[in-house]
Amino acid sequence: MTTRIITITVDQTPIDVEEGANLLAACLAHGITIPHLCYLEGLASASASCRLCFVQIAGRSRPTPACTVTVSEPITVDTGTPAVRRLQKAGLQMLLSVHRVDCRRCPANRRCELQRIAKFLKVGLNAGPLERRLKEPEVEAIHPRIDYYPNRCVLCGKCIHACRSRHPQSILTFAKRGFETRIAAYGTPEARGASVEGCRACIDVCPVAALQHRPDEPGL
Amino acid sequence: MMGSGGMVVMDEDACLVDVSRFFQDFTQKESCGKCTFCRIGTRHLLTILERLTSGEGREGDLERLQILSEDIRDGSLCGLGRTAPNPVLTSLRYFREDYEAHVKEKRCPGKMCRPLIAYYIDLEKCARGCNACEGCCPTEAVFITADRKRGIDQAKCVKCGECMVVCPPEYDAVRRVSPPHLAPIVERPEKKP
Repeated sequence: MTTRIITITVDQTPIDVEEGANLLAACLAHGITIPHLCYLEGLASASASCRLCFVQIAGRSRPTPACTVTVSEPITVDTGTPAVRRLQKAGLQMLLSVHRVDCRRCPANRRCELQRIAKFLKVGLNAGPLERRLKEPEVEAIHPRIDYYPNRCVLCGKCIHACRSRHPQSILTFAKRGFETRIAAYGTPEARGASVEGCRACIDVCPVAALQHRPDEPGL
Repeated sequence: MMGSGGMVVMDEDACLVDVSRFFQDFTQKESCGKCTFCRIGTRHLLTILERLTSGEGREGDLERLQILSEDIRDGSLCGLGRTAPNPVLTSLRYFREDYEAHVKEKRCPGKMCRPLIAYYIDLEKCARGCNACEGCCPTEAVFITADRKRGIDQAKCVKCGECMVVCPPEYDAVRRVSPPHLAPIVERPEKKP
């Protein structure tokens, strides 16, 4: 049985998409930019936690995150309505209100997703009217060879997924809850070091350089 | 109000700004932290509401509350975040003048927000010799005036309201006012050596 091709309309342009495809992935594959942080291909259900990939689907009352939409019928999508942009800018401002904006000294400078999204939305890298609320301490040694920077982290969860998909015993997880949510590691320091020896998937996948290889311990 | 289908009845002594703050504090504790809007947005809502109830409200805070609430309602992932700003949105809609009083006059119409109220003793009504208020005050803010009535030392008072509760109904001498500068100043007499 061949997969049915469905023609959907995105920003007045018809694009052909396989039935059952993810709307965000389909748009990205066709060169349509939609800001996103937490989407990962191949996940059974999208985490939809970053709340940036909003699009307006005709017939729905409010914007929907594109990563949660599975294409099953010919829908009409608008990626840039005022309501969509309002939510995207609000979400970005919230993320920036808990972010240490110190791009020049940040290893992610110029390849940072937040910079890219801000540029796309034509807004500055600031929290607007929101008060900045940073966490203490600035750096946490969550692993013998990995440093975690909570004030860079956007809690997209990509590092956790990367770790889970590579190691039978993944070491990364979300810890705490609510505003205090952060990334942490399981187990004793020795166990953590041994089980993921030589892997730096989590560091590479991080869109904002919140996980860093500890400089004084080479050879990860 | 909180999306639980329950109903809360409050009298005119309730401060809706403080009630909103209470509900935001609750949502804060219940938020799982997964999505951006609920995790960060409700924290900002709480910050602004705490500012208002402590008398540090600024120009533009009400507009910011409105915009932030609408963003959280439309942007959150689950029902908790979607309904979290409801107390703020509805109270802003129906009791906006209460919010404005907190910002512009630093006055709490419900006389609930402690930094915005003061207690004093009406000397016309206070009975000589009754010692109920002095006895229950946890901070020794109640003192004896020159004519053996009672006064409240505003610097020591923590505004717990105990004196108001214990003042016998036949005297009913303890008064609560907002803003606090409305309380008449009663001097504590010098201690005799």
